[in-house]
Amino acid sequence: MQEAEIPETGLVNLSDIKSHNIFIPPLNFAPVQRQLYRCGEPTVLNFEFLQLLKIRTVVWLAAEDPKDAFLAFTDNNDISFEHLGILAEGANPWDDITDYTIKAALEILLDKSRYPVMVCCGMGRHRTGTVVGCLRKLQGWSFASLVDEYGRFAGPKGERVSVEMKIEQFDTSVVQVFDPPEWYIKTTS
Amino acid sequence: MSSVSLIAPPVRYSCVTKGIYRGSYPLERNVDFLKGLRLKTIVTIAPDPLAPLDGLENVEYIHIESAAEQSKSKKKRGLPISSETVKQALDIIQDPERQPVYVHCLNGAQVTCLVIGCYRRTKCWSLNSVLAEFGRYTDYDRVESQFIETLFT
Repeated sequence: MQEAEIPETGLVNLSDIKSHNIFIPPLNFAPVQRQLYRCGEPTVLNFEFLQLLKIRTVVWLAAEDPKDAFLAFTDNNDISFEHLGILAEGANPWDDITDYTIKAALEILLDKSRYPVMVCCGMGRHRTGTVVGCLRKLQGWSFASLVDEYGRFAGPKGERVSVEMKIEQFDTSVVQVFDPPEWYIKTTS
Repeated sequence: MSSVSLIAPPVRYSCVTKGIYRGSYPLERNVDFLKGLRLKTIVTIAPDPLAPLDGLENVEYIHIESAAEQSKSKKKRGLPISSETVKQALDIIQDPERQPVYVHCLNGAQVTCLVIGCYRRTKCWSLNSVLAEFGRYTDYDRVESQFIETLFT
């Protein structure tokens, strides 16, 4: 458990690399758990790398729509695209994501049949950080540990206290888990 | 407080890829978390070896000696490890027989970042992406980026 499968190229020497395409992972890309990845909005430059991850579900948390090229990429690769960032009436794009969005996102992240999953927002910082933070809370991580992880992606001095408060306040008992991935069972039992 | 004890991963813990994890010097309070990783090997890149942890007796402990990490406040900080050290570490962490493996230095920052940065290079990541990941853990300057860029040339 606690592992992710990032494609192995099998190359060891830079001489091999020189004759090989360079992979460019999306902004703020990182594995969260096995076959669960986080990042900012991918661009055309990242598609070759993404293809190797064999993603089946994208959880989109930004309020804005993704770029057409990314939507086309998900279409062409049979990836189901879950737009969970749509704003409630009267809300602003910079507001924190709602409890409902977090719950919906976590229920996808904890559904084995949707894997491999990529969770992303515009920059892969705050909205993605909120959902991953709440996942860590469900896994029983201490608050200091999950804030440490969030802060690494938010950037130096970029942490938003409101995101940390959101994670602390989120009631994890509302999340319904039916058929979670194996790593989740092992970390929470 | 609930009676359920909280899980504390080591500082700067992260999953690198399937079977490879990184972070800082593991402490007693991290043992429960590390147990969950089902580790086979812990690689310590530091001046002194790590004393085996209670509860992690069945893990192979490998020590790779490095110089002491230098302060970030110094205008020019040197590199505490050589390219030979990195190659030695990469051979160990990429050995499927030894995975899952946890690789760490003293604080999970400069030394671990150099090793993982070189690892990403072997996986054809663009230098820019490698350094972006590096920068999430600690600041880097030209010395470190050159080290990673030129390791395999």
